[in-house]
Amino acid sequence: MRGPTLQKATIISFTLHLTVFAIALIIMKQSGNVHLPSPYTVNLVSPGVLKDISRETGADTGKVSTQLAAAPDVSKKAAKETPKDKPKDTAKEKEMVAKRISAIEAKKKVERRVRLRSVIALKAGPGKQGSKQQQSASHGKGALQDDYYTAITKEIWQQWVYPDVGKKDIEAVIAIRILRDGTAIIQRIEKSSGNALFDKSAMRALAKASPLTPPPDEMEIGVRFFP
Amino acid sequence: MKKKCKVKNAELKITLKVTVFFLLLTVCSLLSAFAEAKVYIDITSPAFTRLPIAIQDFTGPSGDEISGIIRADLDFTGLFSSVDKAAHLERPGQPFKPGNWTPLGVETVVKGSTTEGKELVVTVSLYDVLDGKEILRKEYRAGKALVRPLSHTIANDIYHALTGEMGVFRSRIAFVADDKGEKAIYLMDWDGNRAANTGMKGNVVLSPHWSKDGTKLLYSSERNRQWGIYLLDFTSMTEKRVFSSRGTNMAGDFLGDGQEFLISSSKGGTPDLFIVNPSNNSTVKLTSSYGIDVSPSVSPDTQHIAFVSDRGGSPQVYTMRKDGTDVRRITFEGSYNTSPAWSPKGDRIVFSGRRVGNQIFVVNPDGSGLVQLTSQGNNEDPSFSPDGRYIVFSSDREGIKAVYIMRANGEAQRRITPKSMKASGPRWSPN
Repeated sequence: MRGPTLQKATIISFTLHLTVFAIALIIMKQSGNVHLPSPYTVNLVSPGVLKDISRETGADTGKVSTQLAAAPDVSKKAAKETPKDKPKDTAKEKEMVAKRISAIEAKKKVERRVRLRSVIALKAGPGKQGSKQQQSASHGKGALQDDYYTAITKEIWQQWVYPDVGKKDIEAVIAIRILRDGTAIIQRIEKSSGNALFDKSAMRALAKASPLTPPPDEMEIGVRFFP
Repeated sequence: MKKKCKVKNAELKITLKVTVFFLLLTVCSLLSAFAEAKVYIDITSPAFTRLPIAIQDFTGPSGDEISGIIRADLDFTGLFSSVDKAAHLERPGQPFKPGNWTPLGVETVVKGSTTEGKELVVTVSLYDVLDGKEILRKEYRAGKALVRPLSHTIANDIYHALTGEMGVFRSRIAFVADDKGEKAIYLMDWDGNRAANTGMKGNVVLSPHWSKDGTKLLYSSERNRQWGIYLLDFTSMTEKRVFSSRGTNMAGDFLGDGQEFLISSSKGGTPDLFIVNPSNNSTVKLTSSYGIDVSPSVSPDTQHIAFVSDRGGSPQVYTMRKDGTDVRRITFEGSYNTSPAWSPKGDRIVFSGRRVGNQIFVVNPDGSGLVQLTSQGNNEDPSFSPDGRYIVFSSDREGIKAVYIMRANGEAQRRITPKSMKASGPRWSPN
């Protein structure tokens, strides 16, 4: 009735844990399709890298153009009026504009460099990738996968051309298999948007984006497109 | 001794509980790992919203003119980026080769040729660069005088093939312009070309309204010191006075596709809104406020009417049901908001509001989502294109009042009537 019970229980618990973990590991290694446990779906509506890119390319120009669009005459008018009404302010404004432009340029440069670096790191050979895997081992395997999904999301997005027409509340889901060398093969349309041109534009983006960054292992994923 | 035993028992129970908990946790995490094995990634809003297209000069007589019109039509939509002719590697006469276009980033190529006999015959081909296939080939025939409408038809077909939507390049705009000291109703293409005087005149003529099928125009005109409402039928080219009374009568929209239409009339004192049925000459009064009620515009589903009233102290835009109930004010900024017109889907109302000069605004029918679209000069009489993607309006920003068009978000504003022509009250045809 003394000490041994507690000790025994601890040992039993420990061995039980060990065996369960061992079994789990064996099952995972043997199953072909599932390589790494990913207990979450990755939702990359506005991932960090993508944000940077879109700030640089799409969203920024989009924003500027819509601003210009919304008030193209405002800017013209402002330009016209300022020299007449407030000659003092123009110098200040010009200086401010120049400052802002240079700041934006500097920011872009930095962002471009960061992007280049990340692309180089991703595209580099298996040796480098190995080192990266080791590096991010502390982050866990999920983080590495996250990085990969972010990278390919960006690669597909950059190839996507679709004019701003028609309904906005549609969605197309396409299953693709990504081979070891990055080749993306369209498996099937899991969900059609109901708009043939939209589906086609999505398929095209995938075709043009292939080959993608080589994945850690062959995988099948679903790609959801929203206008 | 008993006490000690109890304590040990409790300890054992806790250890067991902990073990079971850990076991469950492990199993759970493993299960979830397998259940969510398939990963989905989301791609939102395309990187490029303009389709890269190359429209080659058509070979043959009038070929350059036709391809130029198609290019201008597609450019104005803002949905295409047309690749400069100088960059084309392939000459217009050469057969289509995808390899000549992929380096330019072009996805669609338009080629065409014309031959001239009794009439002009135009053959147009649309190629998909990525698939390397022809996706459209069509032959068009028309009299030589109809090169412009023919080109617009081709542009409509290309637009439909690439976007799935119907183009508006064959639509027309009715407006009011000076004619030897009087005013007259004019018609022109959506791009301002082929403007023609219908010959329907008056001392004063106000903004015309189209019937739903695009075959009739309703407008008010002051002739011999009387304000009448007139109906011009294009199929028979006849004009008929459909309403007159003392006071000022101003035409509004048709109510649905029937004969009934809306007017504002001051026959009873201050201007009020009426539904007129010309077949039996009956009128139904919709409003009876002390102030003015004018500019009725019927929603596309014909269930609601937007109008202008000064019942609140200043002219503002209101909506109501077509029976005159459920009146709601939808403009609250500015002291003078007029001439509302519905978008074809009924999701937006465009109007002219006084700020610095009169400017064009769009707003949701419930009064939310106000956006200003113009900011130069005075801008009035706005109306939507049949697909809701563009707005036509009049503006004096370049001196004389003229007709302008723009995209529905305010982009690409441009004058389409000649600078010397005093033009106002434009209305885009429904088809």
